[in-house]
Amino acid sequence: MKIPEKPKKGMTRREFVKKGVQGGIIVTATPVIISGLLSGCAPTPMAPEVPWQLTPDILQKLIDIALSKGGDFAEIYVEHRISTQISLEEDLVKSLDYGISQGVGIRVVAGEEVGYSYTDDLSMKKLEQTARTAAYIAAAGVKPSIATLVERSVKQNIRAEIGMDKVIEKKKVILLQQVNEAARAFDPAIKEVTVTYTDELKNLIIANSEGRLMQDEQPLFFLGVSALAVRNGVRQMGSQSLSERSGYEVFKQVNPADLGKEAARQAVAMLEAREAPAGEMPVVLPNGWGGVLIHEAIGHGFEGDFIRKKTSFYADKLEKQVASSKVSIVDDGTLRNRRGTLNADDEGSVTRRNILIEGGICKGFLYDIFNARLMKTYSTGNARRQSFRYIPIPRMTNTFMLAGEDEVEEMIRRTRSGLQVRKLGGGQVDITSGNFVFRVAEAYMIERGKVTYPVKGATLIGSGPEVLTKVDMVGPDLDYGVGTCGKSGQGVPVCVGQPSVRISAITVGGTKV
Amino acid sequence: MDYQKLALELLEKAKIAGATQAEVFLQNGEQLEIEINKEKMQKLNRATIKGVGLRIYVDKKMSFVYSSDFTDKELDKLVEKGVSLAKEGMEDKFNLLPSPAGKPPELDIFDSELANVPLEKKIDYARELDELVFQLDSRVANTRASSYSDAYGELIVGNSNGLMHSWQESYCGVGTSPVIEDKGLKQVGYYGTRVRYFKDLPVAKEIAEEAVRRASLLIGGEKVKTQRVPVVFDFQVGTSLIGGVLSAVNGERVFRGESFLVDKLEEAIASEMVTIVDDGLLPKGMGSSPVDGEGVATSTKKVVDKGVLKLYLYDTYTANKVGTNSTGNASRGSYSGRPSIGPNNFYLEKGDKSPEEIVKEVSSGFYVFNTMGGGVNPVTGMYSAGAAGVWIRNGELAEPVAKVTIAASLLDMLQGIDAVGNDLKYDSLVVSPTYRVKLMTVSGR
Repeated sequence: MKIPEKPKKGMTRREFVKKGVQGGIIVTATPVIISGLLSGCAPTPMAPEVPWQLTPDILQKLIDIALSKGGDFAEIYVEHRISTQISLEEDLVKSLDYGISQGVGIRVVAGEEVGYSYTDDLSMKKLEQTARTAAYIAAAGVKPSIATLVERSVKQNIRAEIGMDKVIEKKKVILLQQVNEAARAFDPAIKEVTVTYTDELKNLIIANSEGRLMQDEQPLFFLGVSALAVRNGVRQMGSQSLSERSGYEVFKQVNPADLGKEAARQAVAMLEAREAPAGEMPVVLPNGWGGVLIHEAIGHGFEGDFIRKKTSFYADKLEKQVASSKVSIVDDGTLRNRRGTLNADDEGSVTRRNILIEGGICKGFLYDIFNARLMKTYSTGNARRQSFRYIPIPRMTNTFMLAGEDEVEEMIRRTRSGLQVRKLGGGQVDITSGNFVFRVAEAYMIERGKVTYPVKGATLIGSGPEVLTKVDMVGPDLDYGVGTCGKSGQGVPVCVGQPSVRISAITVGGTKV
Repeated sequence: MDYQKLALELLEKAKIAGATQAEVFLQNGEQLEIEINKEKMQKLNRATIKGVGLRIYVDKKMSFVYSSDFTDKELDKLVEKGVSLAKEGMEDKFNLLPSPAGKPPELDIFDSELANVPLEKKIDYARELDELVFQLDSRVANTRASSYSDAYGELIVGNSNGLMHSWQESYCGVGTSPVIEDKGLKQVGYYGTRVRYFKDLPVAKEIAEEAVRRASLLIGGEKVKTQRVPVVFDFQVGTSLIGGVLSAVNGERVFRGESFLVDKLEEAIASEMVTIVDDGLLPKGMGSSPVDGEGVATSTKKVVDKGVLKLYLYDTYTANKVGTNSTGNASRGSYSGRPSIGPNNFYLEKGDKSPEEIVKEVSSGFYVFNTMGGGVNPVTGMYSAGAAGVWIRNGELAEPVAKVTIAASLLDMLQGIDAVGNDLKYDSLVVSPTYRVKLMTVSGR
C-alpha cells in the first residue's frame, strides 16, 4: 500500500509577517495533495492540514450523505479565493483591499429538481450538515450507485508566466500611476481620473457522483480606467479596460499608458457631441467590444436552460436560418488566457469551441450537465458559477462573430444617413421576446457616406432575431472586448468579440426627431 | 458566538499590530431561496453567511481586508495583512472614522418568528403562486420561476473611537414571472414584493393576478412611429429616474464633478410636485437601519423638496473632504466590501391621483411598464432606455407597444413631471409611485 503524500504546510506566522512587509500576496499551499492520494486510503477521512483542501475520502463521504435520500446526481464544489483590489482616485491610492473567501457548495439533482446548500464553515460537522440539507430535495427514494472518485488532469488553456499573486503591491501601484498620468496629461479638459485594479486567484476542487474528481487554478486580473472631461459646462466620461488570465508578463506588450490615453480621448471627443437622432437607420458597429451585440442579441438565447424550458426564442430553431448568411458565431472557452477562458467549466467538463451559428444557420446550444441530461444531449463545457455560493448554470465564455471579407471603409461609404458607433456601453436582453438594448458611449453621424459630428445619449434597441438578419457587411478585423455577464443574480467574467459590422436598420433612441 | 466580544477583540488585535485606527464590520446570518417551476423545485438553496470586514488605518493610510474564516490563527493573519497593506498605502488626510453619538432608536426591521416558520410552509407559498398563474389564464405556458426567499441575521459595526452598534434584520420576498404564449407570440410578466415580516406577505393570489395581468397587457407589442409625447411611468419602472437622481446626489460624485446636479443646491431642478426623500427610519422600510454601514445614525430628510434640490448624500470620509457632516448614508453590500455612499429608503413622495386618473388625462401617450438597458447617465444628465408598454389614446389603454426607446434629458424629465400617483409601496430600497412626464422622445420607426 502506497503511503499517502502529506499536504504542504501552510505558511507559519512568522513567514507571513516577513512576506507581508515585502508586500507580497501570499498564496496558501498549492493543491498538490490529491494526485498522491489515490492508491492509499485511511479508514476514516483525515482532516486536511489546510482546511479547504478536502481529501478524496472526505469528498466521497459527503457525496454519499448527499445522495442518502435518493436522487440522480450529487456534486461537491470546493473553492478558495484570494483577491486584491487597488484604486487610484484624485491622484491618490485610496485603498488597498485584500480578502479571502472559501467555502463548499453541495448540489443534489433529482429529476428536474435541484437542492443546494453551501457553507463557509469547513468543519466536518458543518460539511455533513450541508450535505444533508442539499439531500432534502430528493423524495425518500432509492439511493443511486455512486462511482469512486478518479482524478482527471486538466487541459492548460491558461498559463501565467509571472502570476499576479507573486507581484508586490508596489509594482501594481506603479501600473495604476502610469494609467493615471497618461490620462490626465492627454488634455487640459480632463478633470478627474479613476483607475481600478483587481486580481484574484481561485483554487477549486470538484467531485461528483459519476466519479469525476478535478482540481484547478483560475487566475484573473482587471485593470480599468475612467476619465471625466469638462468644458463649458459639458461633462463626458470615457473608459477603457484590460482583463486577462495571464500574469504580469502582459505588460511587456501592453503599455498601461495607452489605456489612460484611450479613456481620455473618448471623453474629450464626446465633449462636442450633439443630440443623437431618433428612429430607424443603418448602424456601423466597431470590432472588439462591439461584440456585446452578439452576447445580448443571441448569446443568452442559446443558453441550455432557456432552451430546455422553451422560454428562448431560439428553442425550436435548430438547423433553421436565424441570421444573414454572412454571420457565423462561436462560443470558445479554450482561447489562450482570455477573460472568459477556462481549463474546465465549473462542473469539471472540458471547455470547447462551440459553433452556435454557421453561415446564418443555428447549429447548437450551450449546455451544462443538468440541462444537457434533460435534453438527452451532452454538456458543452459551459457550466459556470460566480462562486461556491451559487449553482452552476449554462453561461457563455468567449463569444464572438467570425471575421468576414467586407472592407470597413466601404461600410461608411455605403451609408447615406446613419450612425457610426465607436464604443458601446453595456447591454441587456429579454430572452423571451428576444429584444435587447445597448447603450452607446461614443458615436458619430454618417452623412452621405462620410463620418461627420459626434452624438450623445443614444440607446440602440433591436430584436435579436431581427437584427442578425440585417447584418449586411462583416469586416476582416476580428477583435475582443472584456466584460462581466450577469444572469440569475450571479456575475461571471466573459469576453465578447466581432469584426466591424454594418446593420442595415436598427432603432436608435436619441432625442432629436 | 458572542460577536460583539469578537469585534472588541479584533479592534484590540489591530491596535497591537500597529493600527492607529480600525473599524470592524461583522455579519452573521441565514439565507433561503426557493424557486418552483411547473411543480418542480428548480431551486432550493440554503446557506449560512458569515464574515468580517476590517478597515485598518496606519496614520492616515488605509487598507481593507475581509475573510469568512473566524479561527483565531486566520484572524491574526488577516489583521497583520491589513496593517502591512495600510503601511504600503498613500496618506489621505481626509481619512476619518465616525465618533460614537448616543443610542439609535429601535426599529421594526426584524421578524423574530421567521426562523420558526417551517420550511414546508415557505415551499407551499411558492408552489401555490406557481399553480395560480397557470390557473388564471389558459395562455400561460410557463413561468421563469415562482419564488420565495428570505434572510435574517445580525450585523455589528464597531471602531477604535469607541463606537459599537449591533442589530438584527430580516426580510421575505416573493415573486413570479409567467410567460404567456398566444398565436406564436411570447410575453413574460413580472410581479413581486418584499416585506419585513412573514405575516405581512400578501396572499399568493394577489401576486399571481398582477403578474399575469402585466404579461397580458404587453403581449404582441409593436413599434410606433418616432414622436414626442407624454410618458406615464408605471411604479415598477418609475424607479429608474429616481435611481438616477440618487446617483447624481452621491456626494462623492458631486465632489469629483461627475454629476449633472453639481452646483445646483437650492435650485429648482424638478416640478413642484416632486419631493424625494431619503429615510433611514421608515417603520418596516426595506432600507431602514438604526445606523448606517459605518455606525452613523440615520435620519429622515428631503433630498428634493417641492422641486428644489436641498442636499447631497454623504458618508464620513466624503463629508470630511467637503467640510460638512455625514448624512448617515454609508452603505455596505456585505462584509466583503468597503462602505460607500448609498440610499436608506429613497423614494418619490406619493401624490393624490390614482394611476387611472393619470392615464385619463392623456389624449395620446405612452404608458411604460418595462424598461431595459439602465437608462440614466448621471454624468451627462441624459436618459435613454429600451421600453415596452401600452399606448394611451383619448384617456384609454389601447394597443401594446414594444421595441422602442424613450429618451430625454434628466432635467427635462424631472421638471416635466406633471402628475404623481398615490400607489407608492415601500418594498425596496428605491421606490416610486406611478407618475407622468409631460414630454419625451419615443423612438421607433
